[in-house]
Amino acid sequence: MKESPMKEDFMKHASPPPRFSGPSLQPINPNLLLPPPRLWFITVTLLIALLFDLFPLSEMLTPWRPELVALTLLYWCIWAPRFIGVSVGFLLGLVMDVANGSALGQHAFAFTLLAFGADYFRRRVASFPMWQQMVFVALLLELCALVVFLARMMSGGALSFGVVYFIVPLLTALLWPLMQFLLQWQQRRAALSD
Amino acid sequence: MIPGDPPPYLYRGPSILARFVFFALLSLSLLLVDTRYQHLEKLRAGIALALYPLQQLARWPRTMMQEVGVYFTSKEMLEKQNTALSWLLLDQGHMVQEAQTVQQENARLRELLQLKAQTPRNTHAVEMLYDTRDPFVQKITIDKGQTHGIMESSAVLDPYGVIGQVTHVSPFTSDVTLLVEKNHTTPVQVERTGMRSVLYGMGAGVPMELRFVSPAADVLVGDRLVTSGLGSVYPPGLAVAIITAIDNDAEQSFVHITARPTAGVASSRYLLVVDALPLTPTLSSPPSPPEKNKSRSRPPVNRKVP
Repeated sequence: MKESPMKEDFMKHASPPPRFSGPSLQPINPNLLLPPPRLWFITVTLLIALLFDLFPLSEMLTPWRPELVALTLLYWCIWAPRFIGVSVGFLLGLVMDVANGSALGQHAFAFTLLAFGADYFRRRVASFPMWQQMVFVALLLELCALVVFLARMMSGGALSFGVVYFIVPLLTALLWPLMQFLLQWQQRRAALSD
Repeated sequence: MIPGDPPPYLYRGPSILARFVFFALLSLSLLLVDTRYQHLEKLRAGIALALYPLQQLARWPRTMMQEVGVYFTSKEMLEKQNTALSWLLLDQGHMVQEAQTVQQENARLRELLQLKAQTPRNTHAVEMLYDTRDPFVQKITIDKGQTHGIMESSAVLDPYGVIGQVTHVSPFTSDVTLLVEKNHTTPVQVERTGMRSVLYGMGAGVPMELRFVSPAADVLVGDRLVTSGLGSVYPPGLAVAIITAIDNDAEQSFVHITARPTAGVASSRYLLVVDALPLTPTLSSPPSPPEKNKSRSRPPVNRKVP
C-alpha cells in the first residue's frame, strides 16, 4: 500500500510533532471550522423542506418525491444537536402525518428513530468522508422505511405500495451533498463576515 | 469537538436514549390508537388547522402557473373545448329533462305505494388538493372542510362514479379514502338484477372483490354495480364498478368475483361530495334491519355510519 502524501509530510516533520498544529492523518472536515448554526436558519430550512413536501405533484410523481423533511431533520440532528433532536423529530413527524393523511404516529415514529440514529452516531458521521456519509444516510432512511413498514403491518395497516417505497430513501440519500451545501449557507456567510 | 456539543459537566435533561424510548413509545401508541379506534380526530384537526397556511403557500406556485397557462391558451383550443362542452351539455341536458320526468313519476308512484319519500341530499363541488401521498393508504385530500359543511363518511364522486368516502374532516380540508383502499367496504347492488352485496377494496392496482355471492346468483361479466343505499351513507344508484371476472370455484361456497371501479379513470381534479345525511333527517325513521348484518360483516376500520 502506498503511503498518502499527507503521511509522508508528517514523517518529514521533526518528531514529536507540535502539539496543536500537527497535521492529522485524516483531512480536517471543513464543517468543523464553521461557526454554529443559528436557530432562525434551522427553523426556516425546516419550513422550506415542509413546503417542498406540501407542494402538489402529479399522480405519477407523487410516490417519487424525495424525503427532504427527513433529510433536513437528519442534517440538523448531526450538526445542531442543541436545537434539533428526538422531540423536534416527533413533532415534525406528527405534522407530516396530518399533511399526508396517514395514520397518526407513522411519520412521528420514523422521525423519532431517525433523530435518535443521527444523534447517536453524529460524532462518527461528522468525520466521515462524503460518500460514507451518504451510505450512512441511506442506511438510516432505509431502516426507517423498514421499521415504519413493520409498525404499520402490526397496527393493521394495508399494504398497497410498490418497490418505489424502498427506492426513494436511496434517491434521497443522493441529495445529501447538495443538502449539506445549501444548509451551510448561513454558517458560511457568518464565517466570511468574521 | 463538534459545534454545538455541550460540555459534559452541564446537565441537559434526560439522556438521548430515554427521550428516544419515550417518543418512540408515544408515537407507536398513537399509531395503534389511530388505526384501531380513531379517537384522535381533534388532535388531527388541530394540526391540520396549523398546517393550512403552509399548504396554501405550497399550492401558490401551481395556482400561478395555471393562471399563466390559462392566459396563454390559444383561442383555437378554447373554441375546441367550448364546442365539446356544448355538445356534452346538449347530450346531458336531454338526459336531465328525462330524469326530471322520471323523478316526478317516481315521487308519485312512491306516494301511491305509501313509501317514504326520498329526500334530496346536499352536494359540494370540491377540488383535489393532493393525490395519494401515503404509501400505505389510498387517500386524497380535498380543499373543503368543516367550515364548508363537509360531513364525515360522505360519498365523493367524479363524473364517472363514486371514488371514495370522506374519512377525516378538518376545518378547511378533508381526507377522502378511496374505494380501492384495502378492506374498504361499499354496499352495492347489481344494477341489472338488483341483487345486493358488499364490494371490498383490495389495495391500489388490485381488482376489487364482490363478496358473499352464492354460485347460483345471476351475475355476468360487464354488469354494473351501483350503490344500494343500504346503511343510508351513500344515496342509492351511484355508479361504483363494473364486474371484470367471475371465478366459479366449486370448492368454495361463494363465487370469487372481481370488479374495477368506474370512477377515477381520468383522475379528474374536480369532485363532488354528496352529504352522508339527507337535508332534513326524519327522526322517526327506524334503523333498517340490513344495517345490523352489514355492520357485522364489515371491519371496524375505515367505515363509520353516523
